[in-house]
Amino acid sequence: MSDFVEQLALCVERGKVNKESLYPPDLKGQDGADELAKQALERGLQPDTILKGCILGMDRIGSKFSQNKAFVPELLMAAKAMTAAMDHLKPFFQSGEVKRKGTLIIGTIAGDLHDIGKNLVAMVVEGGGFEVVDLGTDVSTEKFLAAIEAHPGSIVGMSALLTTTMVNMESAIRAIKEKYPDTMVLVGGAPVTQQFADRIGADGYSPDPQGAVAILNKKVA
Amino acid sequence: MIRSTTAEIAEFSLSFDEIEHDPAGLIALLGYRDGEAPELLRTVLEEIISDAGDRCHIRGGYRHISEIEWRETDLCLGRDKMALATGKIIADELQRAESVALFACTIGTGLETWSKRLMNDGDFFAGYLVDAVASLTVESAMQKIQDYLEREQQDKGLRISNCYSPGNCGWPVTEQHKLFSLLPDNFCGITLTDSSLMLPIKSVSGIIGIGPAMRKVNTCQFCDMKRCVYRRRFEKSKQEI
Ligand code: B12
Repeated sequence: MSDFVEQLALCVERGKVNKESLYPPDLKGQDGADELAKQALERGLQPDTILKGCILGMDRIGSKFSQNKAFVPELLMAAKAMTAAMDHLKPFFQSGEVKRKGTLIIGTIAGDLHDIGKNLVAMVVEGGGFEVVDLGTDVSTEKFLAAIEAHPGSIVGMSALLTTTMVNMESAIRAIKEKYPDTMVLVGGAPVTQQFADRIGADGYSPDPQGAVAILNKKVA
Repeated sequence: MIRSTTAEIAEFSLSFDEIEHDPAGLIALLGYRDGEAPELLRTVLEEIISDAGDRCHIRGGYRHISEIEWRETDLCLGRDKMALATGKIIADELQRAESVALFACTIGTGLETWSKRLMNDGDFFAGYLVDAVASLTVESAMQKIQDYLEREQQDKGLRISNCYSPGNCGWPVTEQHKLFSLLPDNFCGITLTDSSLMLPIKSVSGIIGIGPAMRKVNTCQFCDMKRCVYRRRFEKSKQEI
């Protein structure tokens, strides 16, 4: 079994989606994340071993990304491979047979329409074994509140690309904390800093997606 | 490059092909050093660049203002003396300008929509690359218009400064409202939201100083973002000098 986890982790880390995919060139012709996940279920392996392989692979590529040893395109290929494997898990998520570590509600803050950074965080967090509820861009406080209501116990992530929009995080956090004092809120985006996060009462900040996963893991541990 | 000008205002319409698209430069901006990037990246980028032209409507231009006056670090423009709070860094560089040009440029929403569609279909890789091509295209288009202004001024024996943008070098993004109030309504099809965001997203704005004492500096030295890929380009160019 650990062999399988390693194999799948390698496919995810290297972004090997399926047998047909030509990327990465050195794995051409070999089974990808898609085939491996399918075979695992056919062989009767526990579905959560697939999740383990995904988490391990995403963790490795995420760490490389944080250390500037890999860049966004590789992270995205890894996410694509991860999604191919995770697709086989959908029925098990639905039946509750495989459980994720927790839920992250994420959105770009009101007034802002930039979503590339937010999307990356969403993907990597999903690869970290969490369910992600993506509220899109220009997300109002009411929308965040409604999503928390619908997904009790979840963690909230907010993204912004401009100083003029990141200030809207403060009132959103205040409203969330008022109604759901135990809800953890993470913030991020190009102009956001740890000092800013502290000042507006956020519970966590990370300059990159991998850091967000680390904070979430600590929270659910 | 189609140009229409009045005494003060120049507006251009550019096609995607008039801009140089350099996959290698883009790959470097994504973070890679020479030869390190996966081959797939180059292939997909080339495909995107060859399909992007029809989806881009590039418009840009500037207003040339000669009535300028400084009040400490505030630059007062035009007859109404609209005060732009550019801050110290920009004031130091533009203090000796004889006139200024206020800029804006956009590539429209086509690439943005394309990128979003790819992402919604699960192709984050291509979606992200389309977004990166779009960002670089609007910057290159702005550069092209600046080059035009530069040549025009050189003919008069004048130089131009860098382009400084609200949101950079200590000039608050909220000042976008003042900058756009000095440009014709709906200039180049760009509008501003209450949160000072330009729509379409892939737009840029700024100010350039004109005069014999103007110079170009690398603005990365004024920014705190140590891990920015643009800074790496700057560090590299410093090493080359
Ligand atoms: C490319 C770029 C552009 C592109 C468009 C970008 C886009 N996404 O569409 C163009 C050229 C159009 C542009 C324009 C402008 N830009 Co600009 N731009 C950048 C640049 C160089 C990269 C942004 C980017 O796309 N990065 C890639 C993505 C993936 O990164 P990201 O969004 O930061 O997300 C990462 C992290 O922040 C984090 N993260 C993101 N969200 C979250 C959420 C959580 C919960 C967590 C934990 C982490 C997290 O993880 C992500 C992955 O690593 C940055 C500088 C920089 N190096 O960041 C400036 C920057 C964002 N721009 C800036 C400015 C000022 C502008 C303009 C206002 C300038 C102007 N006057 O023309 C305009 C505004 C455009 C508009 N529509 O109003 C400033 C913003 C700071 C400020 N003062 O507000 C920056 C920071 C530059 C600077 N040093 O000053 N820009």
